[in-house]
Amino acid sequence: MIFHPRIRHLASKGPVFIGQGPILSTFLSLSRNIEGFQFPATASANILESVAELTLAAMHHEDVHSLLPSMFQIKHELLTTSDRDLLVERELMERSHTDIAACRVFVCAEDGSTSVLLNGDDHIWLHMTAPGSAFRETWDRMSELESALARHLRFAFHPRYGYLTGAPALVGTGLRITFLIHLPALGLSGRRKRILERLEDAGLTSAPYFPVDGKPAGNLFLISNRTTLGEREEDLGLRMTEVVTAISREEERTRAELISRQKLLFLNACGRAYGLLRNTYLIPTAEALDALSIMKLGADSGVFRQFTRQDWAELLLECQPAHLCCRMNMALSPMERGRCRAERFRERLHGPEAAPEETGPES
Amino acid sequence: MMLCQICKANPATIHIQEIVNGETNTLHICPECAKKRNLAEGNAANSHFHEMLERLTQVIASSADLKLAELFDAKKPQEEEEQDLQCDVCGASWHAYKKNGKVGCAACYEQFSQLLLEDIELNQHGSVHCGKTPPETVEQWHDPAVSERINLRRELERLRKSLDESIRREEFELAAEIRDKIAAIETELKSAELIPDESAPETPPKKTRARGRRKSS
Repeated sequence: MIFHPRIRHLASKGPVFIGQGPILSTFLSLSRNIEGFQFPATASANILESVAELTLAAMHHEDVHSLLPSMFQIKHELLTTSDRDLLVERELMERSHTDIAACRVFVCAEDGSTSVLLNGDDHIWLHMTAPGSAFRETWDRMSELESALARHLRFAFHPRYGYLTGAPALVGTGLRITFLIHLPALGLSGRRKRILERLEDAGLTSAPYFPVDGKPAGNLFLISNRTTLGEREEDLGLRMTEVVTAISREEERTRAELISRQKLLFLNACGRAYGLLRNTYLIPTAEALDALSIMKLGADSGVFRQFTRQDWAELLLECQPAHLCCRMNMALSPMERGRCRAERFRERLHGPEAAPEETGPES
Repeated sequence: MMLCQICKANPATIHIQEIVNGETNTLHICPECAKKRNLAEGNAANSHFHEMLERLTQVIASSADLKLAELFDAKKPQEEEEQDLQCDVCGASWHAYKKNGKVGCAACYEQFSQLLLEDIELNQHGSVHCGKTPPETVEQWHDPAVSERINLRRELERLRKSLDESIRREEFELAAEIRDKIAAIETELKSAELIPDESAPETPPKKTRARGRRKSS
């Protein structure tokens, strides 16, 4: 068995990338360390074991436990490589946290909305995901959970620097806010690079979600904060929401313009993407993601009336390597993955209900 | 090897380029000939500067309480310190932070405060935290088993350090004693379930399985 039953169970949960329009999801992560214990980078296994035990005991307190619906915990070393890859694909773990290290413990709410990693870069790493642009609600949940933990654990805090973290790049609030955003039209118009570069001026940073040979496959981007000190969590979140909303509006405006001016070309692109995925027998990730990106553009513009955001988000997860392995319950070579991915697309897009409507988008 | 254009015997290590009215003249000479010709011919300003520098060094060397000298002296150890600055608490070094962007413990923020502040001010939005703060009081830990195990682990850390120390001093009897103590604590810690690991939903509890196996054997 290459998947832990708990993780396998998570794979059957609905995806989180189902936001309406270009902003697909919001991810929040919060780093904390316990006072009096060395940070994981230098601490001995002994110290880290104490940290894990203290934190887990605090998490089993009634007030904390009630905020983590049906949570479960697994020692990190018991997770297979495939388990960890699947957690990364589901945005429950960071790629940098997949290495095996002493006394790491993974805790997760059964609905897959909240995960906690003990002894990653910091003693405690709280992570929450939500569909669409949802900073305020997610932060409220996150803050409530952190406050509940802070009632039982004394966090390392400095009056000037705020919460102390292993990496001084996170010192202060310890909060990383990330938005997943889909920008195909801005990419086509050639303005995307310039817009994303300008984020630097606002203390934000962007990165392709699926970098394939230096290109952003699937037109998906992550926008995160670069700074954590000198700004309140709410102020940062609202400022970022404003910026991301402005980019999203620009994307939508460009989409409308594209459709009204080049409707035939647009319909052609949608139809070809559908045709490719519907009839493929072997497809690599990057090609699948690019076709899915156009399918999403079509779905958002009303070309595929029966192909919903939910369908799209499910396919986006299902076509990724660890999800394919989980589906087949076996390790797969890249070639086999390409075959299984194609098979999944043919299954899901079979039948006339997913086909593009002849009437085309409402413009 | 290029020879000096004046004496044509020594190797030329000084190269002088002169541009006059757009024409470039190059002279390759040896240090001896350069000295004879006062470094560069007619370069009075240059020789004056050298003279000044020499005199300044002499002044610094002769007067220890001169402020200028203090400044020069004060700069030296600071540079050395920056090279091997280490945290007294966790042993993390400033160099390690520069390499991987991570500090070792909360105390590092105080220990490296001067250097770290520069870095933080450069990269962050501000230099003072203005977000969420921890509550005034934290409930004291009441689970005696957890506290005891944490104390045991702290004791273990301490013993391991003294074991290394005693081996270094070649006090082998003491080392043997400490080793036995460590073994005892390790057994004690192992016997307790440290981090309860939740098994998979469909896996039956351990006890039931053990009983089943016993029956069948």
